[in-house]
Amino acid sequence: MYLSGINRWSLFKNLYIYKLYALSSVFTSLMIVQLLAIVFSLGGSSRVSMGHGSFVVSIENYSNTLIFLFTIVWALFIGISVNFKPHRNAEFSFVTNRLMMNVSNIAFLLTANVVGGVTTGLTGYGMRMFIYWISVDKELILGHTAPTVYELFLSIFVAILYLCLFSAIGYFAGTLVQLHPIWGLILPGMLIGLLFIDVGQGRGFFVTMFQFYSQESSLAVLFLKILAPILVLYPISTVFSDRMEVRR
Amino acid sequence: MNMIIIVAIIFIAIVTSLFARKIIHTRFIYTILLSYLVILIVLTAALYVVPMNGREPDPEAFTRAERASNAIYHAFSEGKLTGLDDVTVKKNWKLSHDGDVLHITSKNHSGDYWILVERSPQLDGAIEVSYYNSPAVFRQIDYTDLVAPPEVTLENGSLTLSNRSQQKDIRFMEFQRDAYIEVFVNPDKENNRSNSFSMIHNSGLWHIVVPERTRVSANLEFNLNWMNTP
Repeated sequence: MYLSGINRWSLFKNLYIYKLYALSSVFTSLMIVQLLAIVFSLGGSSRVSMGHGSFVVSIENYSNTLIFLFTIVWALFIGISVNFKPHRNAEFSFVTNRLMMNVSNIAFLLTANVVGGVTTGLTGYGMRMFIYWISVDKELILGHTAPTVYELFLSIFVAILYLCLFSAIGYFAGTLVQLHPIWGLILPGMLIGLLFIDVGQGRGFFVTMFQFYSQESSLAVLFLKILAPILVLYPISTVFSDRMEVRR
Repeated sequence: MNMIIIVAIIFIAIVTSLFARKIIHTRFIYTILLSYLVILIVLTAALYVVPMNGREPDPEAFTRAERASNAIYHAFSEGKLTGLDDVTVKKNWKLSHDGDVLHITSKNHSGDYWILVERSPQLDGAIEVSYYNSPAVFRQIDYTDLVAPPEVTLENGSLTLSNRSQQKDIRFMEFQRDAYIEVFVNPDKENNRSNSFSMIHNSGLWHIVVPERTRVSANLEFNLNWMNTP
C-alpha cells in the first residue's frame, strides 16, 4: 500500500477522529467504573477507633485510592481493547497502514488517559463535598479537605502518568494476543507466576515494581520511570503489529 | 472480596465498551462525559467556596492534655485548685442538703475518681459540686467538648457520681491526601498525623464544697482529699 498521494497528517487526523467516534464507549465505561468506585468509597477507606469506657471515638478516613485503582484497571483494559477485532477490522475501510493505525491508537489512548486522569483527580475531590453533605452524624476533621491548587494539579498529572503506563502495558498485551492467540494463555499464566516469585522474602515482582514507582519522591524521576517503558512498549507493539497480515 | 471487585470492574468495562455505543449514540456519550466533567469541576470548586464546619488537628493538643492531666493529679495531691491552666470546668451543680453526713457513692464506675472536698463556712443547707476535666485527645483532635458531663444526684444524704450513661459514640471523618501524591507532598511520613494513634482520655477532678459541720465519707473506689484552705 502506498501513501504517496495522501497527506499523513490528514490520514492520522481522520483515523484519530474515527477512533474518538468508534471507541467512545471507553468513556462510558470510565464513568461507570468511577461512579462504582465512588459508591464503594462512600463507606470509607479505613477506620481508626478507640474505646473510652462507655463510648467509642472513631475516625473514618476517606480517600480516592479506590477510584484511582479502578481507573488503573480501566486504563489497562482500554489498552487491550483497542486491539479488539471489531475495532481493528473497521479501520480497513480507511486507506491506511499499520504504522498510522498504531499511531492513531496511541493518540487515542493518550487522549483517553488524559480524560481518565482529569476525572480521577476531580472525582477524588468532588466526592469530598458529596460525602460532607451526606455525613450528618460525623464531624469533619479539616486538614486535607480542600487541597492546594498545586496538589490538585499534581494529583491529575500523576494519575495521567500512571494511566499512560498501564494502557501502554495493556496495548502491548493486546498486540501480543493479536500476533498469536497463544499469548492469551501465556500472559495470564505469567501474571500468576510473577505473583508467587520471591514472595516469601517480600521481594515479589509486583511488590518490587510497586515500591519502585510508589516510593519515588522526585516527580521528574517518576516521569522518566514511566516514560521509559512507554517508549519501549509502544514502538515494540507497532513493530510487532507491522509484521501481521492484513485483517489478521 | 478484592478479587470479586476487580472482576466486576473488568466485566463492566468490557460490557460497556463493547455495547454502550450500540445503545447510546456517540454524541450523547460525549454530552454525558462533558456533564460528568462539569459536575466534578463544580463539586471541586465548591470545596474552596462553601464553608465547611469542622475542627483542625492540633499537634500540641496531646502535650497539652498530658500536662493538664498531670496538673489535675498535682492539684488533688496538694489539695489546691491551682495551676489548672488547660483544665476546664465541665459542669457545676448546687444541691440542697440539710443533713450532717454526706456519703459519696458511684454508678457506672470506671477509672479513677479524684475528689477534693472543701469545707465552707459560708455554705449552709446545700453542697456545691464542680467537675473539672483535662482535654481528651485522639490523633491530634481535641474532642473534650463532645464528651458529655457526668451525672450527679443527691438522695437521702448520698451523693451519687455517675459516668456518662447517655454518652453517644463520637464519630469523625477525615479526607486523606491522594496516596499517589503523598510521597511528593509529604515525603517525611513519620510526622504524618495519620500514622499517629495517640490518644489521651480526659482526667476528671471533682471539687465538692460542703457546709463546715458536714462529715464526708466515700466508697473505697474514690481517691478523696481535703482542700488546703489558707
